[in-house]
Formats: sequence, C-alpha cells, structure tokens
Amino acid sequence: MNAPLVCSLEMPDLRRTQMRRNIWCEGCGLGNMQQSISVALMRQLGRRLGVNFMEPAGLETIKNKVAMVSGIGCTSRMAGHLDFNTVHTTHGRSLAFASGLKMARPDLTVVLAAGDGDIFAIGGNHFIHAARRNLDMTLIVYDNRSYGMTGAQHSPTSTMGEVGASAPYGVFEPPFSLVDLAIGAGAGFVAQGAITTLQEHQDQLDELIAAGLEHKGFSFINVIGQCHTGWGTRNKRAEAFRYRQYIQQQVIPVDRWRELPAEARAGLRPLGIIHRVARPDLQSTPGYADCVSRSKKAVEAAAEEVEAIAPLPVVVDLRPARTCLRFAGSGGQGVITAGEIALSAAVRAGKNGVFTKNYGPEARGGEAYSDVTVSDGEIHYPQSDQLDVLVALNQETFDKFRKDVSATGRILVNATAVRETYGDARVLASPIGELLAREVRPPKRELGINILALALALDYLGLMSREAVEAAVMKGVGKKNPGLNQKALATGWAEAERLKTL
Amino acid sequence: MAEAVEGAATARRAPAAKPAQGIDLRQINAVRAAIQDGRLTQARRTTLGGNDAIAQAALEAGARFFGGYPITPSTEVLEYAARHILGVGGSYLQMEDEIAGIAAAIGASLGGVKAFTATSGPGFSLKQENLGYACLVEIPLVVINVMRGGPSTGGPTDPGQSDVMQARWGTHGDHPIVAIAPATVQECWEETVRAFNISEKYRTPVILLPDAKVGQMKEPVILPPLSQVPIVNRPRPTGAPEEYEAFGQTASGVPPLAPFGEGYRSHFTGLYHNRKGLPTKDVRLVDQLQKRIHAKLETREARADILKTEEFFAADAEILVVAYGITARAAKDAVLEARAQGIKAGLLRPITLWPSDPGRCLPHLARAKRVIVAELNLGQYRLEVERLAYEAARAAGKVPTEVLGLNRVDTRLITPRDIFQEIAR
Repeated sequence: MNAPLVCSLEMPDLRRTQMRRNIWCEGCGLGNMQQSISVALMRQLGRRLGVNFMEPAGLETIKNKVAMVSGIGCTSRMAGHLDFNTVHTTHGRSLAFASGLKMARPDLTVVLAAGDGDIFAIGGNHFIHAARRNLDMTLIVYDNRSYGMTGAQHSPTSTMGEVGASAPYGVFEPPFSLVDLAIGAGAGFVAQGAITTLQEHQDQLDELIAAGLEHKGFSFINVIGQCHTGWGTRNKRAEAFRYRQYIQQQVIPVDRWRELPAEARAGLRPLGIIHRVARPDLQSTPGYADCVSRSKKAVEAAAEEVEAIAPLPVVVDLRPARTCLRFAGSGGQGVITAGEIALSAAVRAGKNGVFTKNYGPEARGGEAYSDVTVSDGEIHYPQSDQLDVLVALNQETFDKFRKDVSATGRILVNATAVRETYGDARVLASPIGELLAREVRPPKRELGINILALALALDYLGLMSREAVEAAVMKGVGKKNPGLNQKALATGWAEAERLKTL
Repeated sequence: MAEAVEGAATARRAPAAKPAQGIDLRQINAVRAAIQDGRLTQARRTTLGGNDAIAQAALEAGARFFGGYPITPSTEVLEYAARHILGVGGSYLQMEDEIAGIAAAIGASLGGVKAFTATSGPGFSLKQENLGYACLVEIPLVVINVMRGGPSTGGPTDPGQSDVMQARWGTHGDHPIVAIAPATVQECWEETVRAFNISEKYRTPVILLPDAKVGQMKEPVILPPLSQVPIVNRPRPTGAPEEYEAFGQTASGVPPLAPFGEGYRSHFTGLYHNRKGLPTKDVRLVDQLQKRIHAKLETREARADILKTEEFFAADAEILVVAYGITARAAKDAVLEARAQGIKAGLLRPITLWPSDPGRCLPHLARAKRVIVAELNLGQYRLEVERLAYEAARAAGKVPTEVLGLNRVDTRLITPRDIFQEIAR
C-alpha cells in the first residue's frame, strides 16, 4: 500500500515514553535528524510491510522490525530515544555489531545513527569494510566536523584553520571527504543532506533517508549538521540559527554542483543522491547462495555415524606402556601430515593415540615436526623426551632431536639429506630422497616423501599393520593423489623388506 | 570472587537435581561417565583436532553465528566455522579486525542467535573492550582464546598459558568472568558445549582458554549423538511486552532476553542502565546493576554449573600440584611417577579457572605441606592459589602452605620430569 499522505508533524512520535526529553542541547540539529529518520522509517517500512503507520497495530509492526545500532557520542544516544530494538554499542564499532546482527537476522531493518568522529576516526576501518561488504543496512551520519560530547575536539572532517579544544591554534590536518571515501570503498548508495534553516532541506533529508532505506545494500547518508554549543562557540557560530545559516550558504543541489567547473566547487557541498548503483546486497548474491549450498553438502559429508556403545573397560593399568614417534623435517615436507596419518592408523588399529605438532610461524620452510604417542591405555603427557622412534628427513632435525631418542630407540634417517650420523648405533639409514625420485617420480620435488618415510618406518619397526596405514593414507591425503601415494607406500614397504634382510 | 556480593543470598536456590538420563556436563569426563552408567548407549567415534572439536561443539551446542579474524593458533576454529556454519542454517563473517569479530558476534547474539568468536593473545587484547560490553549488557557469547606466549607477537605457533590473568582482568571495570581451560580434545568438545550452556543460562560471556598445544593436538573422541547433546537456551520473557525488563530482578538474578523482532523492544547500552535498559544516573540502580551481574554467577546453582575442578590423587596429597590445560597432563604423569616411588603427591586441576573453586581446593591446600603451581607463564594462576592457600590457612588457624611456582616461558612444554623433580625435591 502507499504511504498515507500525512504531514510529518502529524505523524506518530517514535520516541520511547520515558525518553521524551532528549539529551541534546537546545537547537541541536540532531533533533531534526531524528525526526527525519522517524518519518522515513514509517513511510518506507510502512510501504514495504504493507501496514498503515497511523494505526497502532501498523506502527507496532514497524517498530518491531527496526533495529537501530549506534556507537558513542551525541548522535549515538539517538538509539536510546527511539522505540525500536536498539543497541548503543562501543565507540566506533556500531557497524561491526550491526553486521553480525544483519547476518544473523536478515529479516530486520538495520539502521545506524552515528557521528563523524565515531564512524570515520575510531570506526573508519569498519566503515570502509561495511561499504565494501554491502550488507543491507542504512547508515546516517551527523557530520558536525567535531567531537561534541567530549567538548569540541577536532575530528577527521574538521575544516583546516578552525579552532577546537584539541586544536587551540587551528586544525592543521586536512579532512577527508566522506562522500568520496564511501564511493571509493564501494558503497552502492551515497547521499548528502543538511540541517539548515529551511524546511525544504528537512523534507529533502526525509526523502534521502527513505531512498537509502529503499536501496538494497549498504546505504550511507551524510548529514551536514551543526554543533553550535561546542565547535560553534569557538568559531563565531555560537547560535544554532547562525550556524545553520552558515551551512545553508555552503550547500547546493548536486545537479547544479555537477555543472560547476572544479575550481568553482571549492567550499561548496552537494546535496542529494550523489551515487547510486543497483547491485545485490551480500546476502542476496548468487555467490552467497552457492556457498550455503556447498556448505550443506560439506556438513552432510562430515556427519559421523552413530554406533552402539557399551560401557568402556575400567582402567586398571594407570601407567600403560606407550610408544612415542617423531616425524621431523623442514616445513613443506609433510611431517605434520605424516604424524596425523600415523595417529589415524593407530586409532584404526584400536589403539589410543595423541598427535601434536610443532612448526614455525611461516607456512613453508623452517623446522617442523610432529609427535605421535600410541598406547592401549590412557595417555596424559602427549610428547616425550625419550622417543622410541625418530624419523629425520634432514640433517638439522637429526642433529637437534637425536638427544631426545631413548637408548633403545631407533632413528630412521633420510640418508639422501643426512650425511653425518656421528656413528650413532640407533641410526637406520635409508636413501629416502633417492628412492622417492627413482621409484615414485613425484611431479613436484619431495611430494610423497612423508608417506614413503612413514610406510617404511612403521613397517620396519612393526608398529602398525600395512592395512591400517594404507587405509589412513588413502582416507586422508591419498584422496587427492591416490596413484602417487600408492607408489610411495609400496616403495616404503619394499625398502622396509630390504632393510630387514640386512 | 569467593566473597558473595550482597544480593546473592536472595537469589540462592537449591542446585538442580542430577539428570537421570543423558550427559551431565558438570561431571568430569561427562560423556564417558554417561556411557559408564548406561545413560548413553549410542555415540559417534572420531578423531579430531582440539580447535576443530571446539568449533564442532559450538555448532552442535546451537551456535549459528561466528565472527572472527585469522590468528594463529586459533585459525582452525574460523576455518571450521567457514566450512560448516552456512550448511546448518547459520552464518559467519571474517571481519576486518579482531574488534569487529567480537562486535559482530555480540550483534548476532542480540538477534537471538548463539554466537562465538575465536582468537589468540594479541587478538584477545583487542577484544577486551567489547568483552566488557558483553559483561555489562549481559550478552550470551563464547570467546575462544587459544593461548600462545606473549607479550606482543611472541611465538605465534608455540604454546603458552599467558592469558590467564588477561582472561580474568583484561577488560576494564569490575566484572565477573567465566574462563574454562580444557586439557584434552574430548574436553575441548565437552567444555565448549558447557561454555555455551553457561553463557546462555546466565546471560554472560564465557571464555574458553585452551592453550595452543591442546588446540592443535589430535585425539580420538567419543561424542553423543546430535540428539543427545545437552543444550541450554537463554531465558526468554513470557509476559506482556510492555512489562518486559531486559535488566530486571528475577529469582535467579538472570533477566530474560528476547531476540529482536518479536515485540519485546528494549534498549541495550554500555552505559549504566535501569531495568528497562535505559541509561540511568540513579546511584541505587547503578549499584544494583553492577552487584547483580556478579551475584547471578554466585548462586548455589550457578556455582554448581560453573565451577569444575579435577582432583587426581589429591585426597591424601602432601605435595599438591596445581596445573591446568596441557601442563596438567604432564602433572598427571609426574604424580603417577611420584606415587610409584611412594611419594604422596596429588594434582588439583582447575577446569574452570575463573571463578576459582574454594570448595574443592581449600581442604587440599590446608592439608598439603607444599604446593606447586605449574604453568606456562611466570606465575599468573599462582597468585590465585596463594590467595586460596591463605584462605585455607586462615580457616584452619594455620600458617599458609608454601606455594611454589614451576614456570616455563621458553615456548616448550613443562615436562613430567620437570614436575616430578619439583615434587621429589
């Protein structure tokens, strides 16, 4: 249905009954902005929801569907005044709170009221990302080029040379243009209104906010407003009317502004819809829908089977025997994966196990190792400095971890890379690197070296059955490249046979 | 923490009866306990990483929004959520920074959706302001902080337990906090579900504090069927919307929380607020609000739900080790070795670190001749144990037991040998 034709002054009051006295200074433009937001919400939402805001039930429906989120500052106190679902959050973060709310509740109309310091200084990062992300939300900023609540400090939009409490000798930093910033960050709807002495500007603001609400996606309406009691008193505009006149002199309709040559635009600020591009909001894009359906498939694929379970055997042996293995090499050699597979094989064989990993902050290179502890009973500490088995794929890790191997332990070294073994009697040398190149012929150097070494170590030492190891490999990394991993396994087992005969 | 704040007494209720069937997460090793006495006859068996278990548990506890930012060693939580949460009808956002991650989660929670975020030390610092917001505004929320060392970047991939005090006092202002430190992958799952249930039931943020080693280890786990995951949802208003008080006084101390959009319009602000949520400067209301958010976590029922401490050979321990998370696993091996050698050693393992558990700790602290607090920091939880030892001694009319620290911050774990040597010294 169409919005009832009602003069804005006759429209219902959206303020909470307990909050009819606002916190703002007499003559502040925030009252005007609050009124425009109220009017626009009633008109626009009334239309969208098909309800009459002049009837109590219709108004109730509208109020229930609106969530107003704000940050900190004079403008942000608006959320407390209005009878919606309202959140007055932390300084600068309103857009981040609102983003989570909108993701979780796309059915709500999410509106934000904020000041220029709140959104563009402390909240600047959230602003550019909200504009880019394009959730269906409407942000209305009261841009008075200063911090009002804390007492007239300068903000990122303050005019250079003007005086503020924290710029006693004049603002020496350049401001940025909020409109240009919003467009650059990807906002699909950018408009600018102003609080002046003229009713037409108030009416225009109603329309701009309504248009922003109608826009699907992120919409930003910048409202040029005054702070006559703070910034104004320091800059010869201490009366509300005078400050509004000052703003009035600066604004021109955007159509006329566009016709002006660039040099004539100095000091002028365009009013109207400055930028509007239709594109689906984040939650309406085909890409998002595709992610949802692909995720559903992943959830189905990952669902574990439910099986009958009987009471578990009571633990008698408090200190059961355990076997500790370490796979070590450089980052990228797959020693972490080798450990994961060993754990998986152990669990398949009905044992208990713990896998831990150690790696550097970088994804490739640097030293990496994984530890696997296997037992028939409970395992407390998941690592050991008395390793039963060390698999060392390079010299550095052999040198470093040799001391962590027990006197009766074994060290399988990749003889292709480990040249010096210091006559250590625990060493079992195998040219793993050469075997890989010769027998497996990986497309990328060292791809599969972890599987070969793992198969070799576990088989030679008789730690786990070939079936368990093969199943663990093929269910894990092997899925991607079954041929290569089968060859790596077979080569490892063949080498184990050879070593056993020595 | 232990002192009951005024107002708690009125909110006190008898603890809920132990459920006759199903899993009782207040028990140690709750799933196993349920299997052992026949309350659970079906299960899922799988092998999981700690962080994956946490994320999976979050979704199975009903979480339907994740807001986060990548940071080692917690990123697997974000990645799991990214793979699965859309598929169960939820949503997630990788936000522009850590601050936005928790902010988005709070926003979603106000929408009536269970929400969580995950991070590690430096990111946890960034989240603190909004964590305080969630405490005062009473937002159900779970914050996962997979601990590494610090301060600053430290060793991002190396384990640490250096955020214990940050978890307690990281945000500004007086505030209650619940922080839970799992030690096994099984516990990562169980304690995450419990964390959500506490946060929902008591309208409070709960911090899960695994260390990097626990978050990144893999172990076999036994999980209940989805239908038997014990789930608690936030209290919701039932009366007329115009009478709704989102911050009102209730018997439990926990006011109901309506999701947005259902007619129970309210205001939520980080300013001191009245029962309707509107800003107030009424000194009586300001005082009431702050004391109530503490008191609601100090009722008998709340303490039964929240506090959790494992006593391992503690009953007659003369040398008492206090350790949590990965370090407690080393401590168990050390205690077993000591017992094998005839030394009366025992372990107290706080699973809930904050608030601490005087009921279970004080008798052991009063009896022990020596107390060793082993942790991967320079003595953070030791301060709390010293405080408890002082309380235990005062109650028993004795001199407080000596509380020693066994600390390591070189990125390596405290080993069973380290702890045994300290026990045997």
